[in-house]
Amino acid sequence: MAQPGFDPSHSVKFDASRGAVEIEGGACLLVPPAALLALCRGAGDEAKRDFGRTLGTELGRQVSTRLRASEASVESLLEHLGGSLALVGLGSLGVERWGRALVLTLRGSPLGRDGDALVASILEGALQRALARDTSIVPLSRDSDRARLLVVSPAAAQKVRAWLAEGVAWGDVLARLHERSA
Amino acid sequence: MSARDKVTFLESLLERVRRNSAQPRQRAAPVAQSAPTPQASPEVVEAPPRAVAAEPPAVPPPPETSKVEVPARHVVATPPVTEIAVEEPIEVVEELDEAEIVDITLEDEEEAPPPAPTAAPPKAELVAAAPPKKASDIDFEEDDRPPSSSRRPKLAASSLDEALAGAAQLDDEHEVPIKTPPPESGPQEALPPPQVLQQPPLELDEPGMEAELARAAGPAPEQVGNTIELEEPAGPALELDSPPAESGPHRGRSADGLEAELSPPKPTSVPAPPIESEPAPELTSAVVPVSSPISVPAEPVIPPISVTVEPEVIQRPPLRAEVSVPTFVRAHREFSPSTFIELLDASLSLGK
Repeated sequence: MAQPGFDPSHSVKFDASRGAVEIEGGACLLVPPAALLALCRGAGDEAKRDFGRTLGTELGRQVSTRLRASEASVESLLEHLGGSLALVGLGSLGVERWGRALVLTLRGSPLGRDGDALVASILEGALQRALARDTSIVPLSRDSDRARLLVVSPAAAQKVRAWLAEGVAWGDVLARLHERSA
Repeated sequence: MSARDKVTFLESLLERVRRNSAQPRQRAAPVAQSAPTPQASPEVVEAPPRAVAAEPPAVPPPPETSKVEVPARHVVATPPVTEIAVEEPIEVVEELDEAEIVDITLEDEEEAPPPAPTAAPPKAELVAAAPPKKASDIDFEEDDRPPSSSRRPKLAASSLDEALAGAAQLDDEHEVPIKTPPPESGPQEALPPPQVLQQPPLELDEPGMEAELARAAGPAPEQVGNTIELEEPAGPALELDSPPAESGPHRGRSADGLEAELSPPKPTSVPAPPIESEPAPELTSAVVPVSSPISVPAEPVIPPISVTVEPEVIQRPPLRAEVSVPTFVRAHREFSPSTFIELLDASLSLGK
């Protein structure tokens, strides 16, 4: 089934007279990244995750309003989810498939390495809202510009974090996930 | 006048010339005028084209010569015509014959000082030796005109100042622009050293030089032998069967000739010798003919030793059949999710 493409025309509206900014009909707030990171550092992990999930739920809602996410292809859902994430200024989203593992990549995030956990919470909330799946996204690797985020079940996420804490390479983590599931 | 008379006249004239040549030379003899008239024109008689100018003798003509009276610019000329100038005394005349005619032109006469009137008899006279057909009336008016290229127009000036002024005016009218010749560019021709320029001329007095010059001029008649005329060949005319092979078409040939050229060449009866049949002789001072080979002492031929050199090959033992060398990681090539949620579910199933 053909899915409509992402069309960001008139997605963002600035009403200077009222002092309001709208993204696809919903009010939003323009916040500097440094201020957001400072807030995240002061808050706990649970509060930060809740903040992120709330933000992601809004992005998932936008995606679900444009297309049928349950029937959307990988490319189509990536186009719409990535478009919504770009409208809020969180970077460019991508997808990598390592076997059966789904790895989301993010380039150009203004939050940097310190914001990878927040972005992971945002994506969890978006997938929850768009696809009705409880997922746990674990930051797998990070270089200067690109972050790899592994989408796994909450149970597998604990193992992955443990392996990464042990110093296992992210490739070996992916191999171990496949060995355990075989 | 017959031929004998001519010879006699010339002999007497020669004798007179020789006699006068022995005498001391006289200078500025008066000009003879047979008939001085106020309109006396230069006493010149037109000579035939073959006339040769010469100094007339300063002696009276011999009685055999025919005197010519020049009254009223008319000369009755009788053959042979000989013109003799009268301004200067004739001193030497060498060997006068029929072909040599003494001629004094008008220009020479005008350059001489004007004749001084004298009562003395003329020391020279005009002798006309022209042929009868030339012995006609001569128009002195035409003869008196100066040649166009030898005369400068005289200035009608009464004094020296007027003449100079006129000359200056003429110079202004015909002023030639002064042009500096362009400097020569490029390499100049090197002059020979001064030693070469001052080298004395070659002298022919050296022995053998004349012989060298004579040899260079060509063979002497004594050196030329008899010429043998070769007879014409009596055999049949030889013709070239086929023209020499040249590249490209030839202009002027017929179509038959072109077809003959295009036909495949016939094999020659004498095959070309192979290249390696005869070695090229070496250009040395001592060339040994091929027909007489040099007997070289035969050295004992040592047969080559046949040694088989083979590497020692150590082969790897073959693997057992039950050993599985590669260990492949599952690639899940068969997994190809069509939707995002399918991929998401597969990823969520990992690690359980």
